[in-house]
Amino acid sequence: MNGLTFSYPDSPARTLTDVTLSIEPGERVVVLGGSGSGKSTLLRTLTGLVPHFHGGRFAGRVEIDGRDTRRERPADLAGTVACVFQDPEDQIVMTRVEAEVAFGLENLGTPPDAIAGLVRRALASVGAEHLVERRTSELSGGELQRVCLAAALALAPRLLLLDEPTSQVDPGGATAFFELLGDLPCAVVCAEQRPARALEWAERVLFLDGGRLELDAPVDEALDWLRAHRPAFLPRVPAVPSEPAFGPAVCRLDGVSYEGRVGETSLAVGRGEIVALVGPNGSGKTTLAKLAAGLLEPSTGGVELRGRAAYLSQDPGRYLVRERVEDEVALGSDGDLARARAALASVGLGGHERRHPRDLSSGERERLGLACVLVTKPDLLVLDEPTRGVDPERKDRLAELLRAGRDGRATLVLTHDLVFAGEVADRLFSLDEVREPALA
Amino acid sequence: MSPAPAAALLAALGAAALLADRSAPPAAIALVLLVVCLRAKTPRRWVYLAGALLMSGSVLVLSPFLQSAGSHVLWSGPIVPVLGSLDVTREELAMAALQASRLAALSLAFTAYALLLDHDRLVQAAGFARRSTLAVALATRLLPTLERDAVGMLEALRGRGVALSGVRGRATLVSPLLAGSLERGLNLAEAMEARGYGRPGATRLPKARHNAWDAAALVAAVVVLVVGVLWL
Amino acid sequence: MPRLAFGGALAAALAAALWTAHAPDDAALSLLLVAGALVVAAAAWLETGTASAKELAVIATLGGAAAAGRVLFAGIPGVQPVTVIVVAAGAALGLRAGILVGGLAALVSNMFLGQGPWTPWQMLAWGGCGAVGALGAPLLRRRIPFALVCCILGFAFSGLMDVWEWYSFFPHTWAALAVQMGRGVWFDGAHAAGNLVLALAIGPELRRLLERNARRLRTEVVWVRPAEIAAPAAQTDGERWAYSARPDA
Repeated sequence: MNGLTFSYPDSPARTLTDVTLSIEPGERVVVLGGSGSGKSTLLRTLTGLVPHFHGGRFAGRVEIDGRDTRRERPADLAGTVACVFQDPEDQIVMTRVEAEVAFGLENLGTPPDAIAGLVRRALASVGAEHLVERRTSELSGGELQRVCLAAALALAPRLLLLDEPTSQVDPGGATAFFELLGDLPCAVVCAEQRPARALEWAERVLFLDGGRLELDAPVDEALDWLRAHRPAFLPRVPAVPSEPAFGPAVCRLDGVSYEGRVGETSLAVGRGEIVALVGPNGSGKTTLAKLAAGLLEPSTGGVELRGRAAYLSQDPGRYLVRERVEDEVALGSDGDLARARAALASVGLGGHERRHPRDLSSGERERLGLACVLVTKPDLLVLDEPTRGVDPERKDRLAELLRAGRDGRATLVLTHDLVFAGEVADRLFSLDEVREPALA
Repeated sequence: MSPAPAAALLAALGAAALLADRSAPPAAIALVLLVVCLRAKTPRRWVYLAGALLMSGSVLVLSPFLQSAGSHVLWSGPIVPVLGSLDVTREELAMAALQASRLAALSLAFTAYALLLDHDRLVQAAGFARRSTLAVALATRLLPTLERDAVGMLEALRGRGVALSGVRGRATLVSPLLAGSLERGLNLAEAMEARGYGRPGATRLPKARHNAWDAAALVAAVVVLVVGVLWL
Repeated sequence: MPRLAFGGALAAALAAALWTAHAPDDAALSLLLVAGALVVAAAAWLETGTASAKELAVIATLGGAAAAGRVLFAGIPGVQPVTVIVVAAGAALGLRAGILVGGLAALVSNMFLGQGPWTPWQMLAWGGCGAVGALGAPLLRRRIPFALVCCILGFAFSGLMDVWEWYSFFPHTWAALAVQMGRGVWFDGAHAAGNLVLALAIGPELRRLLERNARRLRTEVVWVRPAEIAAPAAQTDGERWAYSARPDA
């Protein structure tokens, strides 16, 4: 890549500025950076999707295996470069796993007799051979991501690109995923928000900030640089908060259970307290949170709630109903625009009131979701995985924001991220038992 | 049995039933298909079967009153505006029975298809029309995801204390649902291009080899069709 | 090859239609064949044209979304958002997209609501709605015309399905037709009224949304020297970028 400078059609600002780098065969590279720093765009330039799919103003030169991406379309580069994106739901095309993995092979014109064997080999290499006859709609997020990885590896690419592949997967799944990346013949470039595992696996580190390549060094030097300039991106040891419960209980769950997903659990959250609910996928965290917020009725036991509850869903895409940001937030305040604007200001979206919610970047959308629930001034605030795909610096700011506002309400935060839990919470409540292995 | 020969057999049975001139053959076909449908395990079969029964039942009951033909009057009724005189003749009953049994056979053939055949494999087996099959496969695969998006939006609204009800309430979700699905669509298009879609010279995963049952089903389909055209 | 299939399917549809006219007693089968042949023709039509992943993915997702919308309203009989979505898609994205989204929505939603001999006719009917949307796009920019068209299409859709059912299985008398249409009058009325209400409520919003995205479906790239990506103020958003000639080295 030489002197790459790029801007998308809609935005006047440059997304990437003067990026120059080269990647050797078999190298393991991790790309770090905050949201909006251009990591995803950088990966897409390596596939040709930028500029051919997205359009825009493109200067400089990118060559993959000697082929110029300006002259070759992404489909032509597909056998040499393969990608795994963030959300498996936005990559899976077929209803059956075998057909899904075969899709890329079919497009590349692989002889039909060879396809089935290659599919099985690829699935075996990611430990998913038992899934070959299954339907994609039945699989969990972690399993789907493995299938996507198998689909990419089946093409025998020389360069494998991963765009935050574990952000939708829990820590156990993420560790397992990185183990699969240990032994690949191709060069691998992985953009990640969770530095810990990625830095262990990588040989070389790239750091992007505002579209500029600030760092391009082997891992050891990179760690020193990060320590000096961007300490938030270093792997951190989680603190274990263990204050005793305090404050008058706003929400009390007594021996609640729900349809086998949650069994006989009791939990109380007091005013002014922040409790982190942790546990692996399939342990029933979301169900318990919805029971607390009053969105579900428990099968047994009782839920006592003093005041109003608000529930922030995992997927910020669910807070994009109206056509203007301030109208969206005002849904929670019964149309009161003044309160809506105040809530937007408190999450740092002050100047964006009149924008269309779908024009917001992913980081801005998450803050919009938070504003939508904060505006209701709830007595119990339940946040379901607010740190998915969020960069370390913004996680710190979110923790500060939550701690600053904690008086006057009880907060329940569901998270996989133990570092974040340590920063934000007063105590931990953990659900250990995996009741639904299908989700794990 | 692979779905394509089975679908061909069902189609042949349906066509033969529709070509019949006497009620007995389609009724027999309908009975056979009914037995086949009852072998399905899902509880939905009752809904489908009830629907098929209702449709053919209404044809059977209403048709004789809606026409005047034949001479062996079985029952004579009053003269009513629009419908004319309500009388039932043997010929009318025979025709009604024919149409009803045809409809029953056809509906049950479709029901058997819906209950027992694996739609995905059938779509994939159509090797020639790649784009259409891909479009259908993609839309089918997305439907549960998009439904979850819709439910999730409802839930997120409840989570901020907004309750939607009725037609107008649900109507406000249609646009965001579409907007979200378009974003998904563009992301999917990106992934498809990155996996080489659009290159000339694409091949297909070969279909499973035909076994004895498949051959038998195909032969049976042809036989049924020929019998239907020539004899019935 | 696809063009051949397209022509062949159209010819088959015509033949089946002639058979219907000639032998009304076998109308059930011949009408089914007409619908089936036209569906095959539409599929063949999809095979021609450029292999754009964007077009295919957008058509499939809109078809899936329309089907999901139908299931969302499944509790309220007769009311479904498919017609409104299909007409808006046709108006914003063109003839091909409109027809294919309509057909796909019918096929996919019936997989969950019940397949039957009515499926090919529903595919054609909704495809036709998409075509109407595309052909009448300039007229449909305002809320009232859009709502009226959707209401009329609701009646047309129900009417078509009633006529099909009547001609296939009931005696070919006017009395039978009247009874057939009368039997479904509440349902058909709900259908048209539902379309009207939905179109009034969300029509313009839908069209705005689809037009926002229609822009993203067209990709335009500009090759520049690095120094030229500067001074954002000089670029207004009215400017159209186009693929220029060979990129320089």
